[in-house]
Amino acid sequence: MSKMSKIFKILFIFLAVVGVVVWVVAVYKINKAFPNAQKEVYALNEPCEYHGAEFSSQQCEILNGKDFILKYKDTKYADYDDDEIKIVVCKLKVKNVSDKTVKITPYVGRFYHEESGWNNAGTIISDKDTKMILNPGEFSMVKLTTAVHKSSMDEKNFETLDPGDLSFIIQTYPELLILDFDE
Amino acid sequence: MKKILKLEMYRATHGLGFIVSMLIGTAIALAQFFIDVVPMAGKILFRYTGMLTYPKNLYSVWLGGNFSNYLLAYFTILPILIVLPYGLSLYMDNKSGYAKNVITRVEAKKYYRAKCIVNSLLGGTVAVFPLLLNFLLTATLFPALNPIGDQYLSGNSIFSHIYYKYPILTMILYFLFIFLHGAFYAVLPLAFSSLLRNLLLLSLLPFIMWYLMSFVSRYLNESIAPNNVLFIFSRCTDLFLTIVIMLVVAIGSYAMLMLKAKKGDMIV
Repeated sequence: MSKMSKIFKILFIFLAVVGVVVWVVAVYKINKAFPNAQKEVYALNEPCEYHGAEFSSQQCEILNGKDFILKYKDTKYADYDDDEIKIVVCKLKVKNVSDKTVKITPYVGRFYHEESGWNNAGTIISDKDTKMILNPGEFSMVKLTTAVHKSSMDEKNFETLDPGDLSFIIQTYPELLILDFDE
Repeated sequence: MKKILKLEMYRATHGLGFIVSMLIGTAIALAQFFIDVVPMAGKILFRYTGMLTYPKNLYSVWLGGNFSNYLLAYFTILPILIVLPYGLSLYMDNKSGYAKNVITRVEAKKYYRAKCIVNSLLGGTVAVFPLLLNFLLTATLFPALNPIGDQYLSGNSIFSHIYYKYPILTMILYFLFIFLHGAFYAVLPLAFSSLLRNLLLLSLLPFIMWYLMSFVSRYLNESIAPNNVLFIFSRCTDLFLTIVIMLVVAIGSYAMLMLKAKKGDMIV
């Protein structure tokens, strides 16, 4: 091996070691600054407080397309066949428990099926403003909906889907609020 | 065998094809990192009407974690990138007479086997290296928080059952899956070196097969389309069938070469 190639080899090893050390330090620092969120799981009707607002899941039902249209007079899923889609509707209570006016967006979250990993954002159903402003002591009921498509879930999980299998996750940090739909 | 393997590996890694292939893949990975990831690094925490929403995390920001034009471009040219390093070497060796020289000294079987091994290793490396590099670089800027309700990964994605519980294990399996994809399809041009006399056609063989399969699977079973299954968030439920197809391609190609070697034929 020539002297030059030996120098290049040593230089390459030196740079590689420096690179690995820099990488390890950077990864350690970023993960120390942002540790995993603490999961806080709440049962049906159990209130959880966050930033002056209290959230609680009140009810969850799973409907087929026809029943959803009949019950809520909402036709946004009318184009789908009944065996293709299931519609999840959950009722969420949001209450201001602070002494200040609270501005909140209750649908900063996703419906989640832990067993399969299926998840989808909740869409507000009703004519309420998506950004709610609640005075101290005031509360509001919000109806959130999502559609579970057959193609986005295992057939077995789709057929047996039950409100107890689902959670509503309010994606906050450093606490992660998980509202279950069973007691 | 060891000697010929070493020699083939040296030829492959010192060739222009390998360097060009690695450079193209790396350029895409770095472009996504510097254009998409770096500007986002200062906005990890996002305030949304008074609430701190879940931080942007490594698994949803890196190149493979979300659908972008970079990823689409990378997976579109991947079947060409895996052939570039050494996929055409047998054709070239036959044409130049190099293969004849080698086979007078080494068993044809060993020579072809060495070609298969080197092609697989390089094909897999070329396929996985840019993704791995991008993932490791992104890991320095974004925390590896457990993904929660990732908008890209639905319940029908290949790894959705383990992604939310064991994200790092999922990434390891995903990188292995991409490596195997590159490795298995890279052997294909070797097997067809004797049948196809057109260099361009040979170099595009995995690309053509890849997209032909994707076209056919649209009518038969979409969950096995090669250009679909590579995405970590693709809605593919048939991982088993995908692996079977990959194995059939690789073993079929290997068997074709061994049959030729047994017959004592030159692949010319």
